[in-house]
Amino acid sequence: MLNQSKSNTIKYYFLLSFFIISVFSVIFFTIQMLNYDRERKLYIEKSTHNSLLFAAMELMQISQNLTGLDQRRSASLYAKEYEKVESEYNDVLSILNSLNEEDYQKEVKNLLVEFSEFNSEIKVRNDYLYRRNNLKVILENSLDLSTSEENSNLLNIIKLSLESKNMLALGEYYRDLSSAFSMSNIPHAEREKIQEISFGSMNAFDTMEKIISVNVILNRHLNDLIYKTDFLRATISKTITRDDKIPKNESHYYGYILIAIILIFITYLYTANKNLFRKLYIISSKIKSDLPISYIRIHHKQNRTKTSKEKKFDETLFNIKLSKIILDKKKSNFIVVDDENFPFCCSTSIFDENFKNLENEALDTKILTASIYDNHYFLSKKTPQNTAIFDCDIAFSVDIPNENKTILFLNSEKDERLRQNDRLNSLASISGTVAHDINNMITVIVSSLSILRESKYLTLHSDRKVIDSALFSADKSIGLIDRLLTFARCKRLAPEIVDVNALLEGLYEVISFATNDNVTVEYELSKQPLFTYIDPGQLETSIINLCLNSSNAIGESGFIKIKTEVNSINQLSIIVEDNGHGIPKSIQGKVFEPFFTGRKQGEGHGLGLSMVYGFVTQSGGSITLDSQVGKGTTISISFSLKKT
Amino acid sequence: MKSIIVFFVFLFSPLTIAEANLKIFCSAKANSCLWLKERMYELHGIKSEMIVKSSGEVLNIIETGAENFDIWWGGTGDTHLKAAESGFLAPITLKRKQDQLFWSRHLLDISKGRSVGVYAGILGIIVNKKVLSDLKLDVPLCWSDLGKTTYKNQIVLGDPNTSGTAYTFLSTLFQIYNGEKIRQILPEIKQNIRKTTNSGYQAILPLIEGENAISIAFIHDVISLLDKYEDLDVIIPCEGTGYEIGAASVINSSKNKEKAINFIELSMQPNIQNLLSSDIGLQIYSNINTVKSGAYNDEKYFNLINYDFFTYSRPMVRKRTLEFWNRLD
Repeated sequence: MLNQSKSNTIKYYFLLSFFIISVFSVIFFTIQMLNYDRERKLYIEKSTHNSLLFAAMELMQISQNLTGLDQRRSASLYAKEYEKVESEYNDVLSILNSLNEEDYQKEVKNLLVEFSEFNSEIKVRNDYLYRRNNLKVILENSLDLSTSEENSNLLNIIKLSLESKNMLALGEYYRDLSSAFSMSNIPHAEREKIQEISFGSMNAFDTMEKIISVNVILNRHLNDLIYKTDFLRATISKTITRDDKIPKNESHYYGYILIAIILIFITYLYTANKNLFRKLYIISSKIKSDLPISYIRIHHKQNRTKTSKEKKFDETLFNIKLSKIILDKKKSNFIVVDDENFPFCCSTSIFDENFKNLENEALDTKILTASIYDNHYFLSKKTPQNTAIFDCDIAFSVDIPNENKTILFLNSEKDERLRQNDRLNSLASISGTVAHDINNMITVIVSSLSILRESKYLTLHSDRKVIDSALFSADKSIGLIDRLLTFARCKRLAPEIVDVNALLEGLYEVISFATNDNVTVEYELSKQPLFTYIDPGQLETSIINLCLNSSNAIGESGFIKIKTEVNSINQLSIIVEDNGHGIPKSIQGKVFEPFFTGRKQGEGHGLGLSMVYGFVTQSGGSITLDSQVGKGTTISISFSLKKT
Repeated sequence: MKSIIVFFVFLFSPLTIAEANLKIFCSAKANSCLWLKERMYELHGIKSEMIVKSSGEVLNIIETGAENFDIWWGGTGDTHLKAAESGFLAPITLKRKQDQLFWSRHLLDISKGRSVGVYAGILGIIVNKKVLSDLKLDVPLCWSDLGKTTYKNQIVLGDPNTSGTAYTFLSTLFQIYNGEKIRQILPEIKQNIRKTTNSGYQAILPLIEGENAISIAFIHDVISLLDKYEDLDVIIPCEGTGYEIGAASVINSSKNKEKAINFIELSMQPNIQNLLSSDIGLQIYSNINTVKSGAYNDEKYFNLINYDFFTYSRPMVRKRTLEFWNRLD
């Protein structure tokens, strides 16, 4: 009896020590979980902060691309893009303001001031370049028509000096001209003309001195701007990477230890004291309900409670594996499928796009509130009777280790649109530079040809014919370049308040004339007048371009419908719809690129849609394309609505 | 004995020197400096004492206090500009500024009227073709070629800390290659350097001797040697090259500022510059009416970058550029 009492006392102390260890473990585990929860909340806050900083960096990069600072492109392009740069940087400022990043704000403000100074210098340079081009035209004409060799030699020196890139070469031309001029015996009138061009009011040398000086200053500022923008971005980037650590949930290790202790304890208690077991069971249940992740059932057709095994599985999957992979990949569109390709869970956007309508019929759905990027829907298996095929565009997939499940990351339309916009922006930058330079050259060609054509020395009709043909081709090139400039958003627009319906009505005859005879043009204009602030000439050209494209897409016969309406976000939309052959999905992303054409070689330049795209974007509007092969194409352009 | 001491004290007293002669630091070629001294005396009766030193050396002397010196004539413009910005030079007003070419006036403008451009010279890669062919090496055509490992120990150039030529070379590379690219190219070039010399001109001597294959120098310094030494050749780098504007300035501590300014203005007239340009210094001289340089008679030499004298003469930029170079080892 005594032995039994002693044995009970030992058992009691043993149980008590187990109980104390368990209580401490539970407290420790709870603290760990709370810590983890706090760290995660901080991380989420930090990552929002970081993603905004990242957005600021991206905007700075966009500005660099716009100005061509990164590629040291022609500064004249910068002058045209300056307003956009200013607006990008104002966006950066407002982001930094919302984050209370005062130091960064100060630096961005300084950058803005420097961009503005840079812009004024470019304007000065452009004025001088314009003067130089005029001088070149005058010179070219004087050279061609000159009969005196001496005169032509002098003009050649001035011509070369107008191409000087540095002070030293310019000085040598000046020396050459001065000495040749003092020795020449050319007639008085021609002498005066050369004097006027080189040293007089036109002053070729003075112009070139200014251009070279400003070029040096511009180059200096360019280096400065590149350095400062890069430095600021690098500083922000360091801030982001320093704080961008995902908190690790190490509490589950403590959880395992705790569970092990509790299991041993339970096993022991089960045989020793059932009451105590019950009490401990209650405590353990209470702790479990304090877990940071909870489920909210939004719809449950079979009204079945999940088994604890299933809950545990979902919880582990979400907490440890799924969220980590999603965070790593930084892609918010995903769907998790099991080994039979049945959906298991997905992101809200995927759910809304594809499963929402099926919710009441075949799916068992619930939502996890403790999400990181998005709300993640859990789906139960579909019933065989209601099997639906989910057509998805998979970007890449990741297998979840040891779960027989795969995460499919999908390309969303939004991602695709962003990629397409990036590509078009890059193309616009390149096209703009090229087009602008060619435009300058062609202007000189056309001016020279026009003067030459009117010259009294030109007596033969055949000569005029040759010049006319050259002028015709040059005019055609100007047209092409003009469209390319529009695509590159380098065209100077003349916006005004326009009633779009009235404009379209006035355009009806032109469209009917321009489109093929087998095409019927229909209007479906809104009843009330719709006003917007836009360049009416460019808008007309854009509509005609869209109609011409539609007309070309229509085979034997068909219709083009032009509609105007106020869309869901209170914008004015002009919709051009046709029942032509449609555009295959694979090339829909390319139709706005310059020189992309679905027509035969020689039938089109592929600049129509790119011009429309450039104009709409430059006017602050948006353009969308919806096309199905065999059914037709709908292009909608939207602008902000003005109330008059 | 006493009389000897009195004689020497009289001879070197500042008053005597100031009234009798102008003391001039000359950073151009020694024969140009000597000719200038003699010609100025011959034409205008101005006596002068010439001390020939490289531009970097003169800058160091001026920075540590150059008492009793009046003029700094010649030497690369960036060193003059640095001295001007540091307040060591006096303002100059030219009576016939309009006779000077744009680059000469440009230097006067950016130095805030303290240094004027007198001559200009173009930087080039000078090669010894025989050494290159003996070592079976290609002729370098670009600045970037100088970093090729095959030219290990084959480059001799001035020390950028003391030689204006070498500093012009450095700043030219900095202006052609920005950012990361310069960080890659410059260490590669420095690894190929056999030795550095005090002045840019001295870097040609080992090349003539056949000690090395490549040197960096101003073309007017070597053009007269090309006939005598057939193995030498001048290469204008494919990226374009830099150039110097040799300047003239009056030292702030001078007690003969008016005389000094007059000396500089007279030295910029065709009657002084003509022979310097065609025969002695061979640089491109500043007066519009001066004859063309005897060295730069070919268009190919004018493949130049739009050199930014202002930025690369700023004390901070110069310091940063030299520190970058000095740290490479």
